[in-house]
Amino acid sequence: MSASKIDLQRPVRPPWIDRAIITILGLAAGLAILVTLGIILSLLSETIRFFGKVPITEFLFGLEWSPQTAIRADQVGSDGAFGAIPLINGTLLISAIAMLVATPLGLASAIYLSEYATKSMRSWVKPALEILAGIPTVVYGFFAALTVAPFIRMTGSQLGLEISSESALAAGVVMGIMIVPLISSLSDDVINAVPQSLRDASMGLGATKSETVRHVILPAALPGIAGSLLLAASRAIGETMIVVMAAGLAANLTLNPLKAVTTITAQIVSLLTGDQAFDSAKTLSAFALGLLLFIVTLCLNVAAHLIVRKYREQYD
Amino acid sequence: MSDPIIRAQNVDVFYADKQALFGVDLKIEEKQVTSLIGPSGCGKSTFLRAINRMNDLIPICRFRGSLKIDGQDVYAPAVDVVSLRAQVGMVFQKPNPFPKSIRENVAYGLKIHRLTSSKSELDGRIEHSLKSAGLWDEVADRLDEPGTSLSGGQQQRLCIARTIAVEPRVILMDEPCSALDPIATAVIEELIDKLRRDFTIVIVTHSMQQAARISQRTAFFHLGKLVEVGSTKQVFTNPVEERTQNYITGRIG
Amino acid sequence: MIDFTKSAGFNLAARHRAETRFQWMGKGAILLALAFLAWLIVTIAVGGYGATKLVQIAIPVDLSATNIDPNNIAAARFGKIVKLGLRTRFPEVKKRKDKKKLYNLLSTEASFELKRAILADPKLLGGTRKIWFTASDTLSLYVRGKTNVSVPEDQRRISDKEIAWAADMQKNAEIRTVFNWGFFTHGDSREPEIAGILAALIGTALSLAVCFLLSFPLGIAAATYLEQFAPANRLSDIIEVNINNLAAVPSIVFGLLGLSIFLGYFGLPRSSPLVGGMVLSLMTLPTIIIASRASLKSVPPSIKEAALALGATPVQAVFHHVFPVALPGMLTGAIIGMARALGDTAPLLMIGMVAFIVDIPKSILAPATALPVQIFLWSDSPERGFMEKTSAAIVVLLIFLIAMNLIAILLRRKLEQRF
Repeated sequence: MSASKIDLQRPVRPPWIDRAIITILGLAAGLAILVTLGIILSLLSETIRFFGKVPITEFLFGLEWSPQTAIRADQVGSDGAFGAIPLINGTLLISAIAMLVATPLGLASAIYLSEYATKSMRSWVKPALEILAGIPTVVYGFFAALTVAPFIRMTGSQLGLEISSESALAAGVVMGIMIVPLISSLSDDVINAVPQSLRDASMGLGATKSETVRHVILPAALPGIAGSLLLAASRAIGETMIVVMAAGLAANLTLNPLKAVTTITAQIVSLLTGDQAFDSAKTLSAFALGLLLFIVTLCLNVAAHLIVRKYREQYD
Repeated sequence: MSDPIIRAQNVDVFYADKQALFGVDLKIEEKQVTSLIGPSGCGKSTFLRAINRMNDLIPICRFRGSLKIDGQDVYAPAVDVVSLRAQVGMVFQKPNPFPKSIRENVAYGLKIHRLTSSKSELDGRIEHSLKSAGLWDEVADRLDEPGTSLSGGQQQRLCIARTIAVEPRVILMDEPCSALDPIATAVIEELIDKLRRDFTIVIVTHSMQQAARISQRTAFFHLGKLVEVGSTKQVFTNPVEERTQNYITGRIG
Repeated sequence: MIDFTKSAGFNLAARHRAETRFQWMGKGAILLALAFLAWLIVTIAVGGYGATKLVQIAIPVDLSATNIDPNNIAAARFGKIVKLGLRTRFPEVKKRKDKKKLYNLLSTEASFELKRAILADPKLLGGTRKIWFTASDTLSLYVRGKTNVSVPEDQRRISDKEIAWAADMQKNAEIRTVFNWGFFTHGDSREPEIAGILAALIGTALSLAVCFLLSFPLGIAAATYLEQFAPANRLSDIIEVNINNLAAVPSIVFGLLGLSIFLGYFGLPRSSPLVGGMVLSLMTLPTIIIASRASLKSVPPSIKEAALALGATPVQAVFHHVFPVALPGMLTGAIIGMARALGDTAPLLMIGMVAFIVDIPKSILAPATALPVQIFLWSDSPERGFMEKTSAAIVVLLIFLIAMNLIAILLRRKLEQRF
């Protein structure tokens, strides 16, 4: 037996095995890009076909949405009106109501949980709020349509108000409750990231806790909170089941929360769940709405991430 | 010598079951600088934070004993910590300006305590405080820039200006120079010496040289006990206790 | 003299009042959110309780050879036999209109129930037997006290005559309420008293299985690459940003993708659990990737370094040492992702899983529906009985969700104990 020399060149196993494995893993990661491309291409191609039937200007600026029947004989596209403004209006109205409900509730509970609550209270309130986030939206929709909407209608009639049974208010309020945990948990993180030294500085000057929160912590956490509100708004705009079940399909152009409105997502569902020729303007319009929804929510998300990242850098 | 402004008697402080201070008796004279020195973990910061009850913010922290400022028991039930902290200010280890403008940093205490009644009075107090903190000449033309844009030493002087704006009787300083370079430290030390005319200052420091340079009295803490207190000169040149001797000569630390 | 009490000035009284108000605002917000949660859960639990009850009525049916040929049971006209039985029970009913009302006491399923009973136990044949049949929705609601009988007759679904017959049967103990097992063993039906969730449950199980098989391996592969092997370059950045954005894309958009590409381009079968699972996996993938990366990141680098120092290749170090430690965390992420997929409805509507499905789906290519979609469909039905079914289906859905989250929490706890 001869003394073997050290051979630093000899690989333990053929290197191609490792390279192949890494390549396969990399392909799986690349799938994410493929999915995004798939979304953009599928939405875009159908949307372009839609704009071949209905002019883009009518879609973006038209004040009338009624894909079922022609309003006028000379109507472009001849099988309905495709002005998305009432849908955008309805989506924004319901989302605004949801944000009006969720922002104060979510922020107040985040502040209370991070600044006041004892450890034991946190340990059961936080999971309880997370349950609220885990309830499927179809359940919220059912509850909104069959319990909250009649309740609001009844309360309204006692106050002498005429409230539609599919009011924007009912859908908005329930959606607001749904996004409370989203806002509260994101804001909680942001508030906790505010350095303790700032709290000490304020308390050391003799500020009360609420003064510290209002004058020091909230201003310091503001960018992060703004980011979390943007994410919540994006969630509200993209929410589907609650509005499908509780907001209905009446494309009213109104800012009155007691009236029925419809949203982009509710219309997509109604356009694509009936039996439809795949090529009709009606079906294709759903993809145009989907593209609009995708672009809007994407912008909100990107903006939110940029704000939050910038905010993190400030305190790292 | 006049009556001491702060008189601590038999002070014990506990973190949950762990005792951090053991029967501390300490008198602090008015309008002097008193240094608290000792190795890390000796309880000097805990004692400092007990004076303006910042320890209350730590839920597991308990206080036992008597701590009087100007004859008032700080831990009496009638004491309002907000009022206490307004009159016993604090400067922290790391400069911690609020992420707001220089002006708002100084105005904050004045605003929450409603100490000024007009804009011009507020501006006057801000200017006066910044001048007292020796910062005015450097920031007079950029009061609306964020406090965080200043250098470390400037930030710490801003924090001092913020504290003295409220005109407390006592200023507690918790290693105020530990995060600063030697030049910034020298500026702050000079400032502390000037502030002595108007305020009673209690300063925790890990630097014996600093204690020797700026304080009139020095208290040495070790393992949660007050070992020795006396005039700075006496403590550093002729300590009574052997442990003090060991510490100042670098044998324990 | 120094003063540290409340009378020291500094506007203390007002400031402390503001402090108290502020704290109550926080408490109020939490209470309000939790009150809403309680309201929702109680409403649904109370509503769903009714669906566990099945009202049955006993009817004497003549099963002698005149009605049923023992050698050819299947050829018998079971519907007619049941109706005859009802008329024997109430001989006084003669008018055609009244007879129709009489038949309304029974579920349309009664004839099938009789057939199944006889096929299961042929000894019943050869005489008049009292057999329990499912009552109609209308009678069932009345018996269970869910009908307001004080309103005028023409404004409620149950007539005075039917009420009188029901009272007569109740007197003779010919009406009983039993546990509604059928709710868990039947598919959907137009009749609320018959409708069950089994078909929807199987549809959901098949979709989730497809979803898991696709998204779990792909998710952990992508996460491993990004966390352990990806070079720090532009492409990796783009992939990372992409995944974060995909996690926030509204679920309905994934449905549109499925409709246009899986159904339109690849021509996969509409309404099938295969396509449902594929769409759900697109949604779950970002969640799994993000959770798996966090899990991989929590593995101390010293483990990998030790393996590398022993001469393992980077791939071996990761797969032999990092991967097993991170696996429970990755599984936790997958379960949380699956729980979200379980409750998601909108994308399934897009790919046609809204069909009315009575049969239990036999494969991932057969038309199917899913539990949340079933809830959506039932919630749209006008019958009062369906409202109870909807609530009960929601309760089942929530129980599954809670179970999945509990498993995830337990797994996480086990993982935390190791470090």
